Amino acid sequence: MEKKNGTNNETSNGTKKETSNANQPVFLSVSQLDKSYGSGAARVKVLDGVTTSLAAGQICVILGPSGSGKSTFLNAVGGLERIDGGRIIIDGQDISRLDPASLGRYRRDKLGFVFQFYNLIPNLTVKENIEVGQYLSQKPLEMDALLHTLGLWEHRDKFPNQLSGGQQQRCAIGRALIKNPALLLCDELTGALDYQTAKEILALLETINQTYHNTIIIVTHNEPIKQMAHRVLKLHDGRIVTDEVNDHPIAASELQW
Amino acid sequence: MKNPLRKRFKRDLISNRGRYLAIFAMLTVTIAIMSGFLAVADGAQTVLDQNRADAKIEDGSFTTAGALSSAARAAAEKRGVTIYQNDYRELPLSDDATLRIYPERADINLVTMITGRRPAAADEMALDRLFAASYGLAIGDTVTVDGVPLTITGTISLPDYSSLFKNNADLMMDSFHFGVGVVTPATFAGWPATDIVNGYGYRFDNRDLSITAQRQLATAIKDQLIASGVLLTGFVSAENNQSITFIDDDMGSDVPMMKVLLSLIILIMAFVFAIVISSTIDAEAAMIGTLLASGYTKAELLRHYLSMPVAVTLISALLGNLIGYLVMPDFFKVMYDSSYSLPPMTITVNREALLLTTVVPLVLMVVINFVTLARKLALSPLQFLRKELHQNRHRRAVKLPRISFFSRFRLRVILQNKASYLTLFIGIFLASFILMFGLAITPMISHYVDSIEAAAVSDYQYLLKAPAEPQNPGSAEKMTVAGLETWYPPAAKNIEVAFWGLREDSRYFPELPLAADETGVYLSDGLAKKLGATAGARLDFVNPYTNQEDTVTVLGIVDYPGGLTVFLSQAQLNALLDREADYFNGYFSDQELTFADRNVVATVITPAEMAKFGDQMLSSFNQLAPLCLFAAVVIYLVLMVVLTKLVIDKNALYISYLKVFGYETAEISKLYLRATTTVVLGSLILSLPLVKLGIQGSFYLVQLKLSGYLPVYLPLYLYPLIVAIGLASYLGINFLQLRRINQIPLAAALKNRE
Repeated sequence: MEKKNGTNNETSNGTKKETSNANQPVFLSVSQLDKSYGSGAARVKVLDGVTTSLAAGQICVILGPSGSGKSTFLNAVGGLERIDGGRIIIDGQDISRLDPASLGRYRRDKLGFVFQFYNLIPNLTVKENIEVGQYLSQKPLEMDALLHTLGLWEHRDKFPNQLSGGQQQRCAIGRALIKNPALLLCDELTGALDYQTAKEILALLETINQTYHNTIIIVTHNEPIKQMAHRVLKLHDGRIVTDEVNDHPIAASELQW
Repeated sequence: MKNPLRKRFKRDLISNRGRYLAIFAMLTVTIAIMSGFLAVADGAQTVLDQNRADAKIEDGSFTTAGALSSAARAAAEKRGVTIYQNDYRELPLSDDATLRIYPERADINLVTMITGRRPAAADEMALDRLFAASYGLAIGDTVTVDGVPLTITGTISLPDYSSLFKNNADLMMDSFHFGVGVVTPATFAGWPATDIVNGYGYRFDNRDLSITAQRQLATAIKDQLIASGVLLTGFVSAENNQSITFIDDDMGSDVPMMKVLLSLIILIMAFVFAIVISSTIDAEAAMIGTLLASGYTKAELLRHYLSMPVAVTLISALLGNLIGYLVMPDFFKVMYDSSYSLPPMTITVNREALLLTTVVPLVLMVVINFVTLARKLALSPLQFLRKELHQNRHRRAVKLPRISFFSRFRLRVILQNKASYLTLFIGIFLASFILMFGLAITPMISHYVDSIEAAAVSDYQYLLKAPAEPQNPGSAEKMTVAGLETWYPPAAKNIEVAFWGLREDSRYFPELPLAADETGVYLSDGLAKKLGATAGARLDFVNPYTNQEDTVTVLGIVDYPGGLTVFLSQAQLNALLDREADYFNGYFSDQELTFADRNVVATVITPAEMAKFGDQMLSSFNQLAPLCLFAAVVIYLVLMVVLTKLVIDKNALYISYLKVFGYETAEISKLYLRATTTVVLGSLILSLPLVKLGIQGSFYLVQLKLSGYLPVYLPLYLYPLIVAIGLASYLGINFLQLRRINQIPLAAALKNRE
């Protein structure tokens, strides 16, 4: 496994970005993560001894080709996928041995999920869709402020089918974020968006990270996105082949692909 | 904070209003009918029980040839009963009606006034309410009975005639041709004693006897009377008196049948809801996956999806009960009032009915939908997110035969929606069953009446009180008639069977190979079917007036629809009855006979007389056909609307794709609508044999309460008629679904990329 330290404090046009909070305590730690699908000759190992850790408040981008295990890794961390071996410790809690009900509580208390397809509830408005997330939290973020941050204030009373794809994804992020989750997991969240909208969404994530200091993991095929992350993991055949620390991530608005 | 998913409720209700309105209407109508019916049945039972207590109904009655001696009376009373005089006269009111007139009784079987007042003068009479209504008589009218004019002063009900049976062995009550009335005791006493029937009623001294003890005591009294030398001409306990208990038997079978039928409809609607929910979950799989991934629990989602069926059922139950208690009783009261002579009933809230119309539908709805939801939600969040909604995702596709692409496509649509189509089939079967029941009852009765008239062996049958020669014998042929009883296990009671002792060379039954020295009998086919007896069977009979028991061997079955009859040689029957060899008490004749003493004639039966009961049955059931037609069409419509719409909704995206590919609406409807049309038509046709079996099964239950045997007759034209009504209902739905296909936008395929 290749391990590098990032060196760029400046983006290509010279704008500066805050350095990573690498000195923060470890928030996520996985060790010797194994996961296989199928049985017998058809058995495929999708995670093979994956070991890594993340500090609180970091943005981590996971890259890799299809079938490399990145979504499985994300789902395992999110408590959606049972692992065959290894440990996953999130915020001091070992979730790898939890029963389904405890995993449900873990997701309820600590996680926010954003998917490629927004999966909004069609007969709830933007605000109500975000309330779906708010309901799960004891200490949710302030709704109006979040709507402003998401750029959805004007659209709060619209139904999903009255929104553009980008606005729908903002709403999905709002739904995940209003819980003020310690960990935000994003699976190909820009996969269905055009270039400009994708950049806007990534910028939004960046703002969120700076405002609310959530740890964010982004799984993507889109390599340039790694430039905005504090950590970049590359997976191949279920193994981490590159683990980069980027001390000088660039602003999302500067990303190009 | 309240669960924000609740906000979907109202919007879901509005956006799927057609679907929910249809289910709501079906549930509400079903619950209203059940609630109204049960409320009226309960009201009828309450008033019946109360009236029986207040009016001191008899525990049994008997008639005798000659007055009862005081010694015989005292001996019987020693057994623990009090015997009351219960004489009556039976007089023709016109050519086709008979009145049984009692003096107003002071100790038992007391009169309940419905309208008007009691008779006070010698020329006054109070008449049974139902007979007066059926015969078109009103207070103030004057009728002439036996040459005596009597003015009707009021309408009444008598506890021993809640059902107007002229004879206890009659197949059906007959309020059109038989009625009861009361006159003052003084009026009755002034009438000639010659044609008065010596009647007696008895009541048990101990009012707390068990049913078994009551039966034993009734038998003991009869035995005592016989032992005292009383010549009984009739003896019947209240329990076996159809005039008293037919209403109990009727309600006893109608109420559970109605409960079962309506519960079945609710059950089907619960399945419809389960299919709707199941389909919704399939459509919302990714959203559910996201919610579960976000931390929503399965219990929260289960409650969310369960809230709609629970709410719809609760509102239906509330409204259904309101309609049931406020609107339906008038309808069902008419059904009771046109069949039975009861004091006016009051409708009160009945706890059992309330339970059946609120808790039971709710429980059925919750259990079925809970199980469906629990199974659907058992999948993991990832499975929902990936839309892997079937447990066995590696199952192989059903191999289809080499048929055209369109046919194969339609078969795939049918296989994809098999749960919806199966529910549709069950619903169509139930609706067709209700429809067949409603439409068949009138032709069935008419057919039976026609067959009785057609099979009449003579134009006149005379039953005599004692042997007598007619003044114009002509073609008259003597016979012996006796009413014996045999045990009928399915109803756990004795039924009366007419034994006809015929001449060996009877010209009225030329086909019957009777012989004087033969020791076997022939059964009418109705009796054979009712008892399940075939040639060679041995049957036990008892003479209810002598307690003499006999066993006879069945030699064969005779095609005779006139009643439950046993045919044997006159000599054999006379021997069976311990009569002289030349004894007789009846005539077959093709002409009207005249007797020197007209009082010797007990009954004259003509083919028209035998068919009279048909009028009452047709009157009792004439409201059934439109009610059944309405119920069936509602079930057809609701199920077809909800389930066929579901098929289109489920495939909206693919229909949109087909439009993008260039398919025209006509071609798309060939693929999707014709699949549904095939299932509807197939269900309508394939359910017919099941419907026939169901009707036969139901009529087996109906036979249990009838004294006769009503053969099941389903005219052939009913089968295509039912298919036509079902298809006509579907045509409108088909049009709506075609419009729906037209409305599916091309953009759906372009927007829904997930």
